[in-house]
Amino acid sequence: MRTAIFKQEWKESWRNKRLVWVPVALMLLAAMQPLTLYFLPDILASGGNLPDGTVIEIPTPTPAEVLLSVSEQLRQIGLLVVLLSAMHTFSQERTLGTLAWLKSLNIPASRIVMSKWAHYTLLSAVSILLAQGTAAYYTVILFDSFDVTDFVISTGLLIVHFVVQLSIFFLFAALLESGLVALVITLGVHFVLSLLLSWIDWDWLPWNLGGLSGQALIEDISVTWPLVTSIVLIGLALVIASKRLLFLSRSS
Amino acid sequence: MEIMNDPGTLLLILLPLLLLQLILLVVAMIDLFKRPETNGPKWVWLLVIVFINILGPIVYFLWGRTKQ
Repeated sequence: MRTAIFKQEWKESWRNKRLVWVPVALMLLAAMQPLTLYFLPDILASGGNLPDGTVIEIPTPTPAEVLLSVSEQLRQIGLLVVLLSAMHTFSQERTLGTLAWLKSLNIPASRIVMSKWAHYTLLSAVSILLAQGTAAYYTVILFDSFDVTDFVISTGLLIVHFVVQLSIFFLFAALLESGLVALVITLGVHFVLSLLLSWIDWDWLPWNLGGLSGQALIEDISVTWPLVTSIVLIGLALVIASKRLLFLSRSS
Repeated sequence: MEIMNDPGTLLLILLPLLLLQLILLVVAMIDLFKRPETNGPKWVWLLVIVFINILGPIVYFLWGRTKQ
């Protein structure tokens, strides 16, 4: 019975088609980057009002650079897609009364939070694996082979990065009335900290993981502290979300 | 681009893209036809799904359906 809500989440996700469209959207997103980079000289030549005889020299990016830009793309638009797909998680069930009903069945809040968190964590992990697989496929066909170990490390860091952001989102979604507000806060914090971290040397912050997942492709990196703080942050977010889960809509 | 002259490679490039787009399109259309009510007129969403590449179905999945 412990996993009943978890299983229900998957059923709901399938009915919702979320199980299909989120991975496919991320895969298309990942495929676009190598394709654009490969055809960039053609696109520029046909698009701009350049005089005849203009020669554009664009150095061919290395496979690692291509994968780096895929990682950036997934971190920005991919994260937005995943969070948007999760936006209504608590807010909708609160309005519909599902959360209040679950509470009346004496189901602990931690189980509700954990089931949903585990569902989205798995969904985004699988989506990223598929997306990175697509990116690797196009990179090999259009460019060249690349260092597999670096790529695996980069993918792993990307997944942890997504899980951290999802956990922060779930924390705010549990505390606040509106899923949209929770989404905006999560992305806002993400944006501000990414900006700050380009000036300040706080290498240990979890928000570094995104950038590190890109850097892992081109240089040696140390990830111990960001990983440790990420795990602490995920744990804290889940505990607070479980303790403070808002069961009833304030307006009702 | 020398790759464009090689039909085999061209197929390797285009086939996965077309397949993924087709999946999005078909799944969005199945959902649209099964749903009794959408967020706005159905035929508009059908046009959005069919004619706007990739983004159309995604926008439908995110905002096209009623909150239910």
